[in-house]
Amino acid sequence: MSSLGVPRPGYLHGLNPLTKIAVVIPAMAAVIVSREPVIPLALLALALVTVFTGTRLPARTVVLLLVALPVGVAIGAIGFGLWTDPARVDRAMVLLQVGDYRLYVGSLVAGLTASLRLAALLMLALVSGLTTSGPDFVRSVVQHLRVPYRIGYTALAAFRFIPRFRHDLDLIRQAHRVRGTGGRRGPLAAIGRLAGAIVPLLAGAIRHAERVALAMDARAFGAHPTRTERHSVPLRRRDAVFAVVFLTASGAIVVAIVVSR
Amino acid sequence: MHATSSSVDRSARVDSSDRSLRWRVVDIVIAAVLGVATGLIFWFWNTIGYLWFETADAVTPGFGGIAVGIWLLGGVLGGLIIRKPGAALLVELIGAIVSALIGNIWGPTTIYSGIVQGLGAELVFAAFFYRRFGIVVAALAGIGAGVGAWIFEFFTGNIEKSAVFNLLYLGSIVVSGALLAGVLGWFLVRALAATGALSRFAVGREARREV
Repeated sequence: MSSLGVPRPGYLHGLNPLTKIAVVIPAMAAVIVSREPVIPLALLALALVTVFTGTRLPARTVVLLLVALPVGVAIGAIGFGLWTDPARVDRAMVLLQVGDYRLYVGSLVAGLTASLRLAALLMLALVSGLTTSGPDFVRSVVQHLRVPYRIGYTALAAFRFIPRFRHDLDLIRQAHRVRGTGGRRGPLAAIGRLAGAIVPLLAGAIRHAERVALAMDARAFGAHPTRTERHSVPLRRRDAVFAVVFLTASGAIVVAIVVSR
Repeated sequence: MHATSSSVDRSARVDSSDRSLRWRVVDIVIAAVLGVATGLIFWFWNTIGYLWFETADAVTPGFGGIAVGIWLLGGVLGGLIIRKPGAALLVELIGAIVSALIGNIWGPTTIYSGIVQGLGAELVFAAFFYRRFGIVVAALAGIGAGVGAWIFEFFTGNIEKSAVFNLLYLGSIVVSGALLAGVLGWFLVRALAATGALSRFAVGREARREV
């Protein structure tokens, strides 16, 4: 959300976080109910175009999206394809036969659909996910959706706890190792390690949270019905324009595909 | 584990003087932290539990529900510790969001699951007017969360599967919710209270007698 003469990193950053979340919901619904690969593929492409035109991505993210995403879709297609029920797919063409096992082209298409749907959902979520900061999201939820600010800001504080939890968990595991417990391998041992770590982890987290709450109370957090913001996150005309354009594009894609069938 | 279960149940109904359904700041922060912690548990369970789920489902389709309970823990923990309206829903929801943010194979749909599972547990605590927090209520809350999950998954895909599958899935998810979420969650809260970490909450004051 930089203005004041600083070059903007892309139009997606200037939009209200709620707009970016709301406009992809119809597309997500279309992806969820679709039963063939074309609609997810087209909406995946739309989301990719939106992200690439709307923001300047770091090189690492670009590589991840252009290489890892197709590879992930391919692996997912094979993985899902192997597990689909052969009775429910088109068995006209056999792709591969090993002994009694037949892999049908239809199975792969079903697998591709499933993995494209996941990829499209992920990409649509990234339209807001890549270009929204947590604090701005909380601000706009508080300002526009009338979520009580006490809940919004506390949830925000909690997400900053995540790195601390990792640190705590490491400490607990080290303490266990020093005392000679654990060290075995395998899923059962891993469950055992979790069971041993969970009570100290939760107890430590609750103590930490108590201190945070005390600090917030000491600064009179929650004493007043409203609070001032560092900056407001308004809904502007460009939000309406983006919403209309994106909704029209995704709607047109879905309608065109359904009609052309 | 210093207190017997009967003393926990008895004192759960006294203390009406300081029993308030209003959220204090500490309640909100603890709910958020519990949510994040259960999110980490979910994330851990996403590999092991899903493996178990798939294995059980391969043995008998529908039996996979037996592994679901751990994913319902958030609602039970939130309700038992915070004891305020909305706590179960909030903790389970934050847990689901964290699990989705760290990254799992279900992506954003985890959040919808979190909402319905939290609502299931929340309704059970509400049915007891946020007054009873014994092991039976905990187990019922786990079952409520399981039923919520079952209804959601029924309408998002399982509707295409057979009635036998869905009944088996319902049965196993109910058992798993009662044991892995309800009973386990209740014992977890007792163990936490024994560490003294919950002394600012009614549940901690009940479990530890002042000397």
